[in-house]
Amino acid sequence: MKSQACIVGIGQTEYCRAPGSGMSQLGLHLQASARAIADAGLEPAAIDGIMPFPNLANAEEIAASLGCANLRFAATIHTGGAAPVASLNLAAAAVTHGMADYVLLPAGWNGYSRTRVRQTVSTDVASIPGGAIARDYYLPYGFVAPPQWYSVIARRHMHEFKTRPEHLGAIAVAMRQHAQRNPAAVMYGRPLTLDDYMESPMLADPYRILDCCLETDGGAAVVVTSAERARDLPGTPVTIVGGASGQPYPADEITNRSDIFTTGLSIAAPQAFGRAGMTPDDIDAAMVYDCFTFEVLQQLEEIGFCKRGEGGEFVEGGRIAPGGALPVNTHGGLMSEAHVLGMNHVIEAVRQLRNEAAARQVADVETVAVTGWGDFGDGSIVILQRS
Amino acid sequence: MANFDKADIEKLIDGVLPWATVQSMMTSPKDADRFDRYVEILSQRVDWNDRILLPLTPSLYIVAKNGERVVKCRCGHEFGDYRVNWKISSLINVRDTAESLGEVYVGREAPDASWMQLREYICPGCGTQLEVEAVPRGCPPDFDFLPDLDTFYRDWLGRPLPDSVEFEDRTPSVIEGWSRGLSGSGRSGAAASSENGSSSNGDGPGADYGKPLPTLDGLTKEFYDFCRAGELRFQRCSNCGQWRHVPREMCAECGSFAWAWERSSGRGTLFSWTVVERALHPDFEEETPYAVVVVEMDEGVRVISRMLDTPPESLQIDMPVRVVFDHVADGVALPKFRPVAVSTRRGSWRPRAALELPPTIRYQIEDHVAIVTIDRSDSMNALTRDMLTALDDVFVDFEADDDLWVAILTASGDRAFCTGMDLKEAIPLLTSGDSLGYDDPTKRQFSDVFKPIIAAVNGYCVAGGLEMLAGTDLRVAAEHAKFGLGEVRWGLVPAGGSHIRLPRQIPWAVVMEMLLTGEPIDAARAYDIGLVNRVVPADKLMDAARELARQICRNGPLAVRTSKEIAVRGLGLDAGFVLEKALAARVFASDDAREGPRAFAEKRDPQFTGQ
Repeated sequence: MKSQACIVGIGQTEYCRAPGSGMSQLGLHLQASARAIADAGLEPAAIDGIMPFPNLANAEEIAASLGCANLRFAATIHTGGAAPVASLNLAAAAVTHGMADYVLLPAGWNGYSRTRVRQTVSTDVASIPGGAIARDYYLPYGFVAPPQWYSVIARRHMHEFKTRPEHLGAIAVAMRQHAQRNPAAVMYGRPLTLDDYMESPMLADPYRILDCCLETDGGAAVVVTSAERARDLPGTPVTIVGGASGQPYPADEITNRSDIFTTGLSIAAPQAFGRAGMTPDDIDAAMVYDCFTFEVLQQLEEIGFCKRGEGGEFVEGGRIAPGGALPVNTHGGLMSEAHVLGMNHVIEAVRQLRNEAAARQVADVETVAVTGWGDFGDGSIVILQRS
Repeated sequence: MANFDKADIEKLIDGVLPWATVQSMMTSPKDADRFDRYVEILSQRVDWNDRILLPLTPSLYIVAKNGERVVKCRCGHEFGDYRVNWKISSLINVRDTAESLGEVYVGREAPDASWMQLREYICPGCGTQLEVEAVPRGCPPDFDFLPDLDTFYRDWLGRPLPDSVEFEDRTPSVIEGWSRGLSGSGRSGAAASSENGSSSNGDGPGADYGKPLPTLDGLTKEFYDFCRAGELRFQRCSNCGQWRHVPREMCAECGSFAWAWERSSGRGTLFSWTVVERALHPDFEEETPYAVVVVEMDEGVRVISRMLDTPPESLQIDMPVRVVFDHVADGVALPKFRPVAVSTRRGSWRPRAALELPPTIRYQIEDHVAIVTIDRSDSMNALTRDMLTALDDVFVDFEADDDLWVAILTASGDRAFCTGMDLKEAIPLLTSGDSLGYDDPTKRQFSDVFKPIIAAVNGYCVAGGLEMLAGTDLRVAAEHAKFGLGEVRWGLVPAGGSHIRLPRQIPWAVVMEMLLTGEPIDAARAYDIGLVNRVVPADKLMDAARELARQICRNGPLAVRTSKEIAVRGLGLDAGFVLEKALAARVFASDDAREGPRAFAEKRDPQFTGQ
């Protein structure tokens, strides 16, 4: 049996909208990181690897602030929202191959009070891989932001598979139902009905406002180490049993793909299950990167929870809602907890597997899958298990 | 000083101003507002709103557009900067073999293909033949007319144009761009970027456009330079033939670095689309809602773009579209798209939502049957030009829609089926010598519809009404219906195809009786001579038409359609139609052709002279 890696620490700041976090972007990284390191039962000086989310903070300033004097592994994966899970997989490789002992994965931003989430790409499109293509061939047409880019794929899915707005609505409603059991969620205490969803204004047809993730302030971080080292720490480790990343082809341009529905996750998911020696049937709950409702549906199909084209039916009838056969995003996700770049999905998976999810604890949960989605369809997935 | 009113100028443009008037116009000083009237008339005849600066040819105009001066066809297709010969951006049919020249020259009149070639310049937007040129082989396209617009407006009209431009022929610099793209031997990234520094014109994008523009650099600059010249070109691998977009340095299929910019058909279908209600970008907020489309080009590549003049609610996946160039800022033209009215590859598009019909033409669908109703009974169901155009549009749609198998053509009320052209509108045109026909001499009403048309004749079917009837296939008439061609009474001829169609449908002597006496016949006689299939009581008319439609719909639609096509095309009517149009022109140009309608309008007997 080869050596394995574990998540041993999780930490987060308060998630909020108005009036804002009152902290700097770096401050959010530092507070979440300090809490994750403490949760692991470590001192900052023990952290010798840092993998920040792209374009938000750098390893050097984080290390300097936290006091990580022994930094020897610093890397960032440039796949947008797919980066936290992709980084988790790379961190696992780093700690099992001796490149680092304890790797910190921080993320955070003031997505409400500073640069709005909606503007991150349209105002600085060249910052993403393929951004020059978007700048020269998309932006002149007012095709400027992810909900617009992905909406044409959603429409194509609706055309080919009779996917309906109600299916997308079922996802938005399920996310909100989960958030009602999570006091840390920004949408806690604010339930949503399918009627509310259907009346919500259009943003980029077929996407409505309520198909979109939230814009929030917040930071989140996790600490990864080897299974051997994890045994010496006080907490309950969560084991990374399989993971992979993938990119659509071509990854830098969204329209000229021979199959528009094949994204990074289509390539990553079979590899991750293969490494874990599992199938989608083994998954008890999934934390799916929910930038928009249709991306959840598409990822459920590409992971293999249902066949391609059957995602609409799959999400009906409460299957992904609290108490359903496959609870998805029990924290409320980017759509109803907070947009913490998907790192909050990793934290929620750990909480569920540690049995610390309180009112929203999924009974008998042993295996959880977490996905990431970024840029023009980059994908990542990790399968986590109770140790 | 002679003074000529707008009507005179209109006749001058149409070539129907009496020769004596033309002579006096030519020999007297120009009235001060002649040019403006001229341009005003031309502007009214096109259905776009860009300001016409100068007409170039009967179909082409130089227009002002976002600070640029662009050559634009009547149909809306734009050719780019007027200082670049528009011919190099048109479709060109070259006749340079004895065989192809023989198609247009008879026998020994044909020139020697080794010395001369014939080039037909065709508008990519509407297919109109814009210009023909007979030149020695290899001669560059003639730049027929490069007007010095600034001097003309400043010195001749006394009101200079804003933003004067350098007066120069820019065609060579565009062609130079082609030769760079077509070098064929491939190039490295370094070579491409060093070339773009030595570009021939250094115009930056317009500062006042205020929206994101592509960064004109490297291959992207080459792509947009072609757009600016009115061409959509994509890279195509010189080794494996694969098309690609967006531009890339090498072929991902075969690894070859050799490629060329090849011309796209400009046509494609909608792969997907979105309607942006919130732009999420300050520069686009004021435009919302706007549709962004993914077009799958016939070459297989997909492009992100916008639709022009298309309401978002009429967008449909698989809808056929064609490219147009939007000159948004100085030096930048974005390829955008317009819908194509007829189906191309897939044949399943139903553009009904895009049809804009006047209330006087109704178009309903019952199962596989299209029911087209002329609804203007208060004017005896006479047709205006708009109605004629709408009827044409409806039947283009009908012909293109695979789910429609038979059409029923009828009219509202019980007095008239159709009494031809609306005379209030037609008389001024007729008295100015207009024959009111199609530009294409081989086209008549329904001459390119090969699905069956059943006419349900609910009353008077005379003049243009009977001409229209002659273009239908099965005919049911109400008992009180009457049929006639009274044109000769007014010194005119029914040039809508009757001379060619009717002798093939009913006996010669009856055709001559109707054409030469102008006397109508009743429904019973129409049945006896075989002009109609059934005569029924008026209240049973539509039932009888629907029954015929049902019978046809039981049969194989492809067989039915092909059967009609063979029968119609087997008649070989085109030559007759051309003859009819040519000979009718001499009647329409005559004094009698003005006297007749004038007498009709004045309610008196005409005084014919035979002149």
